[in-house]
Amino acid sequence: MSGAEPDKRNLLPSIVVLVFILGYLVSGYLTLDATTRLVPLLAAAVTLLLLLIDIVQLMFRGSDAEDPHLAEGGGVKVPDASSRELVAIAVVAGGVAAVYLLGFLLAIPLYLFVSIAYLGQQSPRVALIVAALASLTIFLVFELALSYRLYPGVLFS
Amino acid sequence: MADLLLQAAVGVLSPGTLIFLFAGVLVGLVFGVIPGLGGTTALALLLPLTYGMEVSHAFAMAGGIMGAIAMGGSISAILLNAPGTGPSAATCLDGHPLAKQGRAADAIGAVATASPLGGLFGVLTLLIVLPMARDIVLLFGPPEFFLVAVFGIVTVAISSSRNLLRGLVAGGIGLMLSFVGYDTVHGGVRYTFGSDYLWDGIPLIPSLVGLFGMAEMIRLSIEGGTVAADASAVKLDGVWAGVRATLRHWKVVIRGSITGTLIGAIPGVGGTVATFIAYSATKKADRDPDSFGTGRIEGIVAPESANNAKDSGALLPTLAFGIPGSAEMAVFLGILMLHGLQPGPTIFADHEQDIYSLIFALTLSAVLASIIGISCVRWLAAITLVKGQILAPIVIAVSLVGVYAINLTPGDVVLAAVIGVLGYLMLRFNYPRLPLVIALILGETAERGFQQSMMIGRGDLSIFLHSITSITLVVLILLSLTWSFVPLLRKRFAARISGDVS
Repeated sequence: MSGAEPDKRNLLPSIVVLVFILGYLVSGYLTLDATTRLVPLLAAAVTLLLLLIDIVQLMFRGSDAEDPHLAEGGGVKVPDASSRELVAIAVVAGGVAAVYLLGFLLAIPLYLFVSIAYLGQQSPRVALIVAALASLTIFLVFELALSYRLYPGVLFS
Repeated sequence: MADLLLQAAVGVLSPGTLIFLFAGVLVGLVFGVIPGLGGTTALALLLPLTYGMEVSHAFAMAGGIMGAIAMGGSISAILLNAPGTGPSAATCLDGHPLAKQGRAADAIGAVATASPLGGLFGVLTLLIVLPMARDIVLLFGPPEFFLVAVFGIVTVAISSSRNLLRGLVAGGIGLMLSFVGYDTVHGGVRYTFGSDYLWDGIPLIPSLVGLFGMAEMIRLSIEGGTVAADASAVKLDGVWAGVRATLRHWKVVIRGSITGTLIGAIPGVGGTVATFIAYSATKKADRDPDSFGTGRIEGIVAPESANNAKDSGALLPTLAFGIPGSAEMAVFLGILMLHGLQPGPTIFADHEQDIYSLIFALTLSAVLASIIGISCVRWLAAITLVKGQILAPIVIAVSLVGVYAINLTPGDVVLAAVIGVLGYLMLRFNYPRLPLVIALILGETAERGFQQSMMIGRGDLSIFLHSITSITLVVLILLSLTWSFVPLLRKRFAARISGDVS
């Protein structure tokens, strides 16, 4: 066998992309008129075809792309990083939600502290100092030096 | 042209602009030294910050970053055997063995000389080609623009991933996303699902910041750790020996520079390919090729001259056709657009002065980076000791604020974060990001070119074969696709033969 052993878990991202393309095709067909949907649906159909070939290849032969050394930027170098990945993505999502609700000036120090202390596993003191210094620098640069009015958040606007 | 160059030189050398150039060089060196960040991330994070700047200042800063990245990347390649950027990986081959022999200074001296010389060669080539570029671009009508866009997407998809299908799928998704928003050809709104925010399409700048800047930072926060354990092991004495050695090998500098400029001009092929080809060409041409990899100074000079020359090569398709030659150029395209410069045939006529300023900034930044790089090499090496888990959240926070500052729209912050996560997942599951972003940029050009061609040709597809230019482009697209299957077929053939033998 030339490629890596087939692993059904590798199919998951391809299936997510497949669902996205199918949704795009159906939504475009149902909501757009014939002239405006021509090019988008053509692009989606070609992409769908390529993806199906990739999926078939993945199911029956595995794929060379599963080798992280062949991936862009060397791939991600943490084996079985799923739980850390979920936490990292959740922390970013929480940070953005905090920006939306509380505004930058409250959300940034909060995000930095949680990120450094919890995800980065640094001591609370280090996290607090870094969060305070970085937030102060952001405030000085953006609010004072560049005169941007940073978003105050839904709760305070 | 001499007048314009002189004006550009005066503009860039004015104290106000020089400060931004200097700042760009420092940022470029720092981002270059830290493995995994590189020029694309630095430019993506800088992009929103340039919004309030004058065009000349923004170009000086971007030029400073682009010129200094190569130097920074090579410092960590030599000292730590951890290339700060992809193209600097070739420098590891002979640079780190030299460092282990206690001759790191020789290697850094060679980088500091070959890098600006390569940059200078690339810029001179660009200056010669630029006046002709205007005439070349005028040969292009709607069918040619459509084909150029398709060619750009195809070459990037093929070259940015070892898995051709995934590269093309990523390009296809980028195209699909580029159709979101108002249809400029027929009118009507597509795929906005009632959101006013998406009427103008998916904004490029938050997408770039998310896909390149934030995705890399999420990866860094997950992988954690530091690059180097001990910066005190760095030995640095006698840089001038490396400078003299480079000047002695001037033929290697010229060969590397030509390779870098030519390969840089091909969309999507990228700097890493350019530096490795320059390295292997020098190795093949040498009388003692087996000694490469043990600490030959030519093994540093060749890739380094190619590394800086490639930027000028990549600038040509970026400016003339709006087709970025690399990920770095894709982000740079965002900076151009942010400041109202629309790449394409008219850019040379409308913004000649700005372009010459950029070219001058690129040249000067390579020289400045060499001087600063040599002076601050020990401190730069110490940056690699900063923990990823501390660095990543700070950079994410700054980039979110920067993205918001462009339009003062909270939607941009959410979009950058969503695309950042998407970019990370693409990294994780080996989908290349560059084809997606190139297709996102070129989608509108491709669609407009296609629709206008159909109107001109009254629905007849032979319009795409009506001129020598369009026929050449069709042949190039077909050749690129065919050529990309050659390694695959060769591998299958080899596997079959080995199967038969066993």
